[in-house]
Amino acid sequence: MGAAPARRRATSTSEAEDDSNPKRWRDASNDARHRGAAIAEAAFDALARRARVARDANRAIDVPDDALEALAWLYGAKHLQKALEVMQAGRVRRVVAERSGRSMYAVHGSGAHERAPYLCFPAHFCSCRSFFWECVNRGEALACKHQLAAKLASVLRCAKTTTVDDVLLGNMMMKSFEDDPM
Amino acid sequence: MHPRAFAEPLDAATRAETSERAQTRVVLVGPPECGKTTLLLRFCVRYVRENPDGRVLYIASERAMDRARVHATRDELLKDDPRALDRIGIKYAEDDQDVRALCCFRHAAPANAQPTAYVVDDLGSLIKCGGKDRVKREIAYAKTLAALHESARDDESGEERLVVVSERRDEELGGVPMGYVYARWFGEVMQACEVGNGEWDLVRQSDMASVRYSTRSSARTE
Repeated sequence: MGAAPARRRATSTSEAEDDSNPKRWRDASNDARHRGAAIAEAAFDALARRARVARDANRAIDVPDDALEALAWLYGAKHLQKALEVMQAGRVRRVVAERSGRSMYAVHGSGAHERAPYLCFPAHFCSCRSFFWECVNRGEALACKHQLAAKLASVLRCAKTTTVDDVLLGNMMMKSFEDDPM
Repeated sequence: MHPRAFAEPLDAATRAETSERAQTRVVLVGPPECGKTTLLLRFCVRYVRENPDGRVLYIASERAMDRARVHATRDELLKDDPRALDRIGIKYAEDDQDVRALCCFRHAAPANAQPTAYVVDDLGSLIKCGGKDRVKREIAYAKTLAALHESARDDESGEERLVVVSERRDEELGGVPMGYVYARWFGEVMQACEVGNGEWDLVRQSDMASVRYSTRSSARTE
């Protein structure tokens, strides 16, 4: 296969209206989501720094009001409240593979029925129905409450940690992925 | 990542990519017979040659690999250090569950044997779950892309590793099928656009940088 610098660009004159233009897949809502994610990351970084200072000074870690306000603005106040409830109820568990150090979060829902915990990668995925519906399908939320709870627990270092065999971690991930969220 | 990494012949002099913001999640999209498999294989060979410690995991369906027409010569592939090709591992997958299994268990291998780049050929054909049920298909896509994204990460440093996925162009909408799902995890799209007479432009959508390549080749791998 030979290659040469293209002599002309393969674009239409009106990219914004051209339905065949692949650039349309990255639409305005996507850009807003990326900006929101960047702001959220900055908010969590600031919270992590405060938590580190508190730990170094042997003080109890508290989440200041301005941090709560920022997170409520990003994720929704109701969403944040539910996430804090999940975290404070001790429903967030970090599972670590003994040899490789690979990890995942297992977050129990707050529903009345006992079910297997949700697989959570706080930055980008949860196996719950809400993630697929609100975050992926509708693109209306940055993260579900389980991701938010896991992220908070990670930053504040209040998740219970369980160390397991590497193969068991793989099996847990696999099972969670194959559970039907619907 | 510049389109040259996929489209330039392997025996061409490599140009250093200066001031290129590293993009670690790339979707390569194009119609059938535009040379996606060849572009991916060329990328794999170039990657292991330029990264002495790099290892590529190439995932595809066996049937698709048997059918693929690869437009590259034996000389091109075996130039310089043919042993570098040993660091390209091909794994056959039948469906999206197989892809996720490879991701979930990649840490079972020793750290120095784990992939530093993942390439998935024609992911859309591997997503069997859902059929025409769009919601189920969307969920399968999200799970698989999340698994790939999470797997392609160094366990100690958290540094992201490369993931390149190819897709057949969505014939109704044009562009990436399930593009809004891809957008959650993938930051770059490269589209193969037909020029005519076997010539194609591989265009990077973020800044429209492009390279022209040809699928008309008199010499093919045996």
